[in-house]
Amino acid sequence: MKVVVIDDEESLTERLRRSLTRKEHEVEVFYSLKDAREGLEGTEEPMVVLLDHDFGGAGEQDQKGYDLCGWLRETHPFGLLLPIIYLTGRELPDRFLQQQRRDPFVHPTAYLSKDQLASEQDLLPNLLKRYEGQFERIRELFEKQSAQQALIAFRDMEPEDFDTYEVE
Amino acid sequence: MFMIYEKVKYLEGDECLPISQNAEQWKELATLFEDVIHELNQPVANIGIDASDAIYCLDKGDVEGLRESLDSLRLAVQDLGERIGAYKALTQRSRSEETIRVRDIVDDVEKVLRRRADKAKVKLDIQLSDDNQFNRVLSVKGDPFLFRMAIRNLVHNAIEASNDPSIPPDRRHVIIRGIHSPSEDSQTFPHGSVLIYVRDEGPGIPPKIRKRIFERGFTTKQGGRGLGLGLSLVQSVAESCGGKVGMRDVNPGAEFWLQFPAARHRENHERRYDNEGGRYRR
Repeated sequence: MKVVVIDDEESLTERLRRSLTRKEHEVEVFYSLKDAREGLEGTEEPMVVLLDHDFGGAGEQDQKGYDLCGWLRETHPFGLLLPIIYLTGRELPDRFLQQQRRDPFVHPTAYLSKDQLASEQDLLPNLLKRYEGQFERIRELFEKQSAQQALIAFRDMEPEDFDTYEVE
Repeated sequence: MFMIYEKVKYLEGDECLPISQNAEQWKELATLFEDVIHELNQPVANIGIDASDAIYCLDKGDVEGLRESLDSLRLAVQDLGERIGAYKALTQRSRSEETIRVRDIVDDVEKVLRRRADKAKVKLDIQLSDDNQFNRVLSVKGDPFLFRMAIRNLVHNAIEASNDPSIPPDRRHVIIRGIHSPSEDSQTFPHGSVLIYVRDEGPGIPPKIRKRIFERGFTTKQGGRGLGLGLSLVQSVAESCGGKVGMRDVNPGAEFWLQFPAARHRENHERRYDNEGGRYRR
């Protein structure tokens, strides 16, 4: 399965590249939102996207990971079903959940705080395994069933940690 | 840290401040914690990936891969240690009366903020005139924690101001300048004073709000410059160290200054006279 890592922090992306390649994933890395847009333009294959929020290090202070999230939802054939794991660092979960309420069709599939990569080391591999299993099912839904049913399948892909936080 | 100390002080006293008056303090404290989390998150994530990778290689019997992961893990732990070390220096809370070199304080602040500056593509330019015409190593007497806190806040604000999208790359630098000033007021500054200037070339402080920027609870974010950690905190720190804080109008940007009573540093006595240069040198 293809995993696309988009983060301006080289130490993290290189580690993810090495670790995921070892686990036989095809890994593609982008260090800026601009490069990601150019590199992923016209991509139609199934993939899981690991996306950072802040790209100040790439000189993109005026943009956030959400902007690319919306672009991917619009341009990739999987649309809302494209698994996008949002890597969060400094930001608090409730801010993301508020963002999700504002833009329900732009939001990522799951949120993963960077410290969770250390504290819950099985979380990322389990998420990837889960999405890999769902790709076949999603593809089948796209080919054989209605968009409404495909959206019902999307409901099953809610982030695992959503029930931890309550939205007002 | 300093804020916690203040909070405890309030609670220990006869009178507690109403929650509404403390709201700004808690907001600033939350910003400070976010800052710490942001700094530590990256190496912690790297450690998690490396550790997980090492276990995977071990299970697969991949010795080369295991070595690679452990080497990477060692670097990530070293990075974490360095970051924690820099914060540890900031969080020491003893009310000591040490004689401290300004260069040591500025170095600690730079260690904490370097990554933030790198990320914002802001260059930190440190100019401390230890070898000045008064033959004085820049040193102050007081609590190192408070000095670090005050300087750190000013530098942090300057980096944030320089990080404005409207600021071109050639204006993205923060100058931290330290000089010795001979005594003009023998009571306040018996050994002269140390002046520390922090200058940026950001959007500057709009004239209409300049008088209010040191007020507790006043935020300038709507004015185009975020001073999230609170200049009121810097002012109270400066006063508690027997110093002063102020702002000077520069174009472009803003320049804040801190003035602390100078202390005669022990190293001053260890200098030797350089006959060739005709000056005292270390």
